[in-house]
Amino acid sequence: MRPSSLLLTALVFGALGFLLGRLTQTKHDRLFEPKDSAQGALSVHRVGGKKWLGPGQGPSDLLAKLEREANPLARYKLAMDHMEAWVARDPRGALDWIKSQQLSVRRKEVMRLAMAQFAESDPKGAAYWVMANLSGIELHNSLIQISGPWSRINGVEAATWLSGLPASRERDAALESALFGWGTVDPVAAVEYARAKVADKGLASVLRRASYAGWAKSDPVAAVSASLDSSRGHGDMTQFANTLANWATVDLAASSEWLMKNVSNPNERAEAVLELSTIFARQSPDAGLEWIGGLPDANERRLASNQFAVDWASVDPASSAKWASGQPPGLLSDQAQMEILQSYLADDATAFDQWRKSLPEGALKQKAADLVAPANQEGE
Amino acid sequence: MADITMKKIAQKITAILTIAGLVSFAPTESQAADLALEGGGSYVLGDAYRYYGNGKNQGGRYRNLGSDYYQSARIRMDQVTNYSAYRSGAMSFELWATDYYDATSGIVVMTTGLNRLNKYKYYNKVSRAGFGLYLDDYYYPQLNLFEYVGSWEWRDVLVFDYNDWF
Repeated sequence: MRPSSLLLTALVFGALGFLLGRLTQTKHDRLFEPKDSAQGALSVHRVGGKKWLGPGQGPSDLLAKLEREANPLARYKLAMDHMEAWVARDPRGALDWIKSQQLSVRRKEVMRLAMAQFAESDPKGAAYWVMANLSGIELHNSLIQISGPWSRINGVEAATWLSGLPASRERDAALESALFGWGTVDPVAAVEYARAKVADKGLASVLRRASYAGWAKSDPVAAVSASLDSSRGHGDMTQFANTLANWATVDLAASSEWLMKNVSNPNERAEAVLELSTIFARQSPDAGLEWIGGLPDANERRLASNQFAVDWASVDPASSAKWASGQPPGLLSDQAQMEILQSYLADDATAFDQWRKSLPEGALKQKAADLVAPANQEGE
Repeated sequence: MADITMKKIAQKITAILTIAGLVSFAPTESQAADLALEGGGSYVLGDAYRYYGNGKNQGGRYRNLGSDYYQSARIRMDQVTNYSAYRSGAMSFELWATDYYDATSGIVVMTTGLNRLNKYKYYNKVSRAGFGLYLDDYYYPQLNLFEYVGSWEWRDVLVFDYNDWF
C-alpha cells in the first residue's frame, strides 16, 4: 500500500474512532475527559501497568505543576484535565487535593465522581475515606453504595471490615447490602458468615435474609431449597417466604409451582402464601384467583383470599370490591372487607356509592353504608 | 419514569404499654402511635438529572441528603392513618431504593414531613413533590413511614415488587 493510502486509512479510522468515543461517553466520562489543549502533547508513562496521561512522570509532577499555577481557575482546569488518570494512580492524593480546594459546587461534584471511581478500583480505600469524611445520611447512603459492589469482588473482606465498625444503623444497612451482594456470587459463604460470625441474633437474621435474597437472583431453586431448610432450623418461616418472594418478583409462575410441589404442610407455607398472594394481586390478579382456587387447604384459601383481596383493592379497588361481594360469608374477615371498601371509597366515591346501593342486604352493605357516614379525615 | 401502585400488608408495630398502677395518663410525644400506610401508593421520578452541590432541601427526617445528582420526584399514598387513642408525633414519609424485595434497609432517596395526626384520624391522598437522589442503577423501591418520638422510629412500609431505575 502506498504511503498516501496508509495516511488516508489512518485518518478515516482515526476520525471514526474519535466519533465513536464521543458518542459512547457517559455523563461521568465527559467530566474527566483528558484534553489535549494548551498544555501541548500529553506524555504517556506506564508504572505498574497503569498508564499515566498527565504531565511529567506521575501525580507528583502534576501536583508540582498545580502548585506553580497561580490562577485558581487555570489550576482547577489543569487538575480536571488529568483527574481520571490521577484518581486511577493515586486516589487518596487526588481526593486530598480536591478537599484542600475552596468549597464550591464544582469541588463537591468532582469529589463525588472521584469517590465513585475510587470505589470501583479500591472499595476498601473508598470506605475508609467515607468513614473519615462523611456522617449521617450521607455516610449511610455512601456505605451502601460501596458495600454492594465491594462484596461481589471480595465478600469476606467487605463483611469483615464493615463488621468492625461501631454498631450503628449505617453499619447494619451496609452489612445487609454487602451480604446481599455476596449472596449473588458466593451464597454459601455469605450464609455461613451470617451464621458463624454475627453474634447479634436480630442482625444475623437480617443478614441471612439478605444472603438468600442475593442467592435467589442467581440460582433461585437452590436458594429457596436452602432457605427452607434454614428457616425450619431457625423456626422462622418469614425468611423462606422472603427468599421465595424475591424469586416470585421475577418468576411468579415457577415460584408458586415450586412452593406447592415442595412444601406440603400448609402451616409451613403460610408466610410464603401470604407473600405470593400479594405479588399475584399486583402482577396478575386473574392468575392469582386461579392459584388461590387451587390451594388444597380451606384455611389456606381463606388466608390467601384475605391478603389477595386487600392488595388487589390497592391496585383495582372496584374489581376487588365486586369480587368480595360475591364471596360466601366468612371467607373475608371484617378487617379485610373494611380495607377493600375504604380503598374503593377513596378511589372513586361516586362509583362506590352506586355500587353499595346495588348490593344485596347484608353485612357488607351495612359496612359500606357505615363507611360513608363518619368523617375522620384531617386536612393535608 | 415509574408510576405504579403496590401494597404490602404487614409489619405494623404495636405499642405495648405496661405502666403498672397507672390509672390515667396524658399522652406525650414519646408514645409510639399505631400508624399505618394504607391503600395504594406510588412514586414518580423525573427524567432530568442535575447536580446540586449543596444538595436539595428535604422534609421529614433529613433536611438534606448531601451533594449529589438529583431528579424531581413525587411520592403519594392513599391514606396515612393513626389508630392510636392519642396524637401521633411528627412523621417522615420516605422513598427508599433497596437491593432486594422487602429489604430491611436501603438508600434513602427522598424524605418529606407529615404533620402530627390526631387520634383515630387519617390523611387522605397524601402527595409530596420534591427532589430525590439520582442513583444511576436498578433498585427495589419502598415507601417508608417514620414517627418522631424523641428519636425517629420506623412505623410502616409499602414495598414494590419489581426493581426500577433510580
